[in-house]
Amino acid sequence: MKDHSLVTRKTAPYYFIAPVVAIFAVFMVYPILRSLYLSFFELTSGEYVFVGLKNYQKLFQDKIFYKALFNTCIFLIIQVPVMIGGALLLAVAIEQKFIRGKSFFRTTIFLPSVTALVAYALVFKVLLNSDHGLINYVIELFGGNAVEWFYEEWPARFAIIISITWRWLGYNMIILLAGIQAIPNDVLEAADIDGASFWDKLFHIIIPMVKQVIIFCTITSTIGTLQLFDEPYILTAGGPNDATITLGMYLYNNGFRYLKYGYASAIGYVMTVIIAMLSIVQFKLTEED
Amino acid sequence: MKRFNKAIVYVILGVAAFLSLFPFYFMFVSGTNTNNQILSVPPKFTIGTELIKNFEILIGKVDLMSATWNTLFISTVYTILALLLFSAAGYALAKFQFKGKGLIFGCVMGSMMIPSLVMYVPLFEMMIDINMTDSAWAVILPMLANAFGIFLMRQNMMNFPTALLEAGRIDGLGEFSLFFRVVLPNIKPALGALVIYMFTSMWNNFMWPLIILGSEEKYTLPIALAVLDGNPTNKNYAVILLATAIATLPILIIFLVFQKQFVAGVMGGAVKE
Amino acid sequence: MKKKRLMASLLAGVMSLGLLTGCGGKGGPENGGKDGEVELTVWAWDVALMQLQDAAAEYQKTHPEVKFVFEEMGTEQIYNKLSTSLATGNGIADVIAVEGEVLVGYADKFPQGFLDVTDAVDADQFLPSKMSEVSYKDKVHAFPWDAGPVAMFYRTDYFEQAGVQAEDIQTWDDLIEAGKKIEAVCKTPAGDPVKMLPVRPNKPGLYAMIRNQFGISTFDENGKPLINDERSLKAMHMADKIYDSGIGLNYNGWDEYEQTVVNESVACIPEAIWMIGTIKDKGPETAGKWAAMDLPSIDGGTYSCSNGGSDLAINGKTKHPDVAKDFCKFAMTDPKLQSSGFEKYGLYPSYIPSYEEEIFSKGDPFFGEGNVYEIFIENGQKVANTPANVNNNEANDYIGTAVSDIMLNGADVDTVFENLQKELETKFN
Repeated sequence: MKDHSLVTRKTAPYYFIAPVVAIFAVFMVYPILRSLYLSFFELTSGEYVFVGLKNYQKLFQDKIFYKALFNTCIFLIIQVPVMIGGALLLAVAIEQKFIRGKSFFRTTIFLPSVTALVAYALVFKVLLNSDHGLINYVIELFGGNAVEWFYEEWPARFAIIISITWRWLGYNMIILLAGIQAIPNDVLEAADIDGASFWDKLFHIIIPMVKQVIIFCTITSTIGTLQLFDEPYILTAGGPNDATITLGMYLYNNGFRYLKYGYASAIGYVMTVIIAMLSIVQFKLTEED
Repeated sequence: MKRFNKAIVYVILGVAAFLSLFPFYFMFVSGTNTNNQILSVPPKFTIGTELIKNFEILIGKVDLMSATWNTLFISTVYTILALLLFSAAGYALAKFQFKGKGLIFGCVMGSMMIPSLVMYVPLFEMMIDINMTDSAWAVILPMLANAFGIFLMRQNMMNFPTALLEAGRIDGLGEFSLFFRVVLPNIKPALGALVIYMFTSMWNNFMWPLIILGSEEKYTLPIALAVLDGNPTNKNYAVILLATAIATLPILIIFLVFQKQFVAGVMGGAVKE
Repeated sequence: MKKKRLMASLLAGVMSLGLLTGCGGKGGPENGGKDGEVELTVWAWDVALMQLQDAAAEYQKTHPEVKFVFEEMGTEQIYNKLSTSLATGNGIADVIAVEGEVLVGYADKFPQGFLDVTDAVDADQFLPSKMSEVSYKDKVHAFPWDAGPVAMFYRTDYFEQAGVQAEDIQTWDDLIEAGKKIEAVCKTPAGDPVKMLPVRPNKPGLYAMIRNQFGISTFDENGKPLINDERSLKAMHMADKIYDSGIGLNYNGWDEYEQTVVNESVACIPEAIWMIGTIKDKGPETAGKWAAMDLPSIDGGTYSCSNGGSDLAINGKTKHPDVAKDFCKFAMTDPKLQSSGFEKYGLYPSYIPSYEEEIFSKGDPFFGEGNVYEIFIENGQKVANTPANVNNNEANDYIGTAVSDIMLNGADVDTVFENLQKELETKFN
């Protein structure tokens, strides 16, 4: 590319950003507005018929919607902290100086996030099988009772939580690992000289110094969990008794299975508002410090 | 640290690594067993003798070569375009002041919150209007509206030393040369991170390519996998898992090649605010 | 539309950046072209596709000018695509296989989506239950294809070991008694006790089967839900009784359903005729040990039931409506093709004249000496002709939830169904 006088320091950013702006305008802003518009319509006999706020009114009286909202919140409250905590623990463990084979651990623990869904589904159904699954086998080994993973509401929710955690823990671990590596060595060495214990270092040096990264992981995981679709779709189909149906899955059912596209769009917009509010809260919490 | 504590750390990591690897092991091993061996309880966890037979069934069912080639082409082009466009956008957002910057960045970040499922119908209608269905570009272009990638690049660019830019300007470099000769060569880790992120997300992308690609010779690997999985009454899991294993290999390779950069690049993206 | 033009020009702008030279789509499946040659694109899955390929080969003997492009698609894939594109008819094939239970949903939302084939389908020649499946609002939307009459497969060896006679199982209560005997005596190859039948406690399956024996469906002909109808309640009570008796083996999803055959863990499978293919495929060692009998009856139920089966639809915007119609008619009503489709792929025809073919009187030695097909042919004619309802799909999800509440949480049948009745009435009125 050749420079010419038109590209000055003033105009340069417009050139740099223009392609992305064009792409966003066409492939993001337009579809978003269009589906917002469609959320005031419903497909009836091949035509979109204007229904005003009816989709939204129906949504706020829809029991399944509230169930989906409840489940999604449960996943969020339990799964995100467990996963981020676990990811942090593993990242700290890998960063211990004496560990050999760091890159082996890093790679293997990251791998689940690139698995294809069909393999993931089959493996977890095998692992969670109530009669012959490995997980129940281990529980019984320690004297517990076998769990009906897919037929009781809370175990089914935990089955989903276990699977999401398995799939995304390594991904978050890699990000946290990067944060930990950025901590200057001399800070930790100074703490060692002062005789700080492992836990002192974890809570007083590492966590405060990677706080930004933790928040970043929390926000992206929150967004991911709120849009959760794959796991309930392939593992539990939302059951039993709608215990694992999520907003994302309910949206899919309405849009692609019941062909209620307007209603599905309304669900999408309510989801967006919820996600936006949660993200703003999380951003605000960060800013205060 | 005491020997006992060290052992505990190794045990934790070992368990985590085992749990992470196990499904992959199951996937690769199952490709060498029969369908019934996979379905029996407990399933067969050792390498079997059916690999060649399963492979023959597989290539008889789907055109693995063309699906692999299509996926590779789409993912590569997508990744290259994303590298160029996102680093330019991230650079503009991080290192310049200009009108509309806040609005643009706000819109980009806000779009992360929209569930992508709601956008597929409008996007599909649009592709029909502009007569672009069933092409690789119809898969690639909409997916370039990716907020996370832009955010990642912006965060990395924030750390880029302004002094280097100023020095370049004093040396008489134009703005484009500055970007291509000074900025890009100095943010390789970030680009590495973006490569992994973009490439894997496109490689595994299922729903949008499925909707937009019509003809069999254009199918990507995830669609080909779904074809194998889509018979309502009779599934051959051995063949499905073999195909899955084959489809996963390239991703593993990409990750192994770029993982150092990935770690460093993500760091630039997340740490410094 | 202004907006579209704006978009198009924006897009042109993006393209002119030089990123997109020498590319672009060819557009969806198009017509062939030269000299009266006609090209039809066909979407179907696995066995359905193979059967249509056989049909096409036959068809081309008399119609060499017709060319076919076959594209294999899974069921979910086809529906995801139809959901987004049937409105315009753009980018979808000319001929499309669709499962019977989802057809009416598309017919309702997109009345012009599928080609009207009323004039090409001779309603008297197809099973009445399949005709009502493809008819919606005075239009036949597809050719009825394979049907899924249900009967009960059972393991003669397990029955013998436990001293259970097939003739003694007349009612669902008898089934429970027999199930207890079998569980007490028989062992699977892996050493576990044998269960009587697979049950999916979070789906309508077993309940719907018994309810259909009363000849009713989820909705009546006016679209009123029949959940709290006496017959529906009776069916659910019986399904719950069977579940609570403990003779069932829980399964979650198709892979675990197939496992019951592989692991020989059940003595009975009440299922549609297409299950023959799965049983033969997954349980080759059990050859000769299976047979089929009628479903146990419920007091007052005089009908049989069906499960699954598909239809063949034509894209409403196809460029060759007449050729597509002619081909589909041939593929669906040629008795030879129907019988070979059944023999090779387990597609049980709904075209009544094809039952005259030899195969249907021959039986299959895998299922013992008697003619295993007999009971299915008989039951196929006994399936009630229930009205198609566009909300069936969604209502089934609701029923599945209610079933899991009853079976898994032990909730009271009458209360749950009374609530469900009200819920469906408000939702769908």
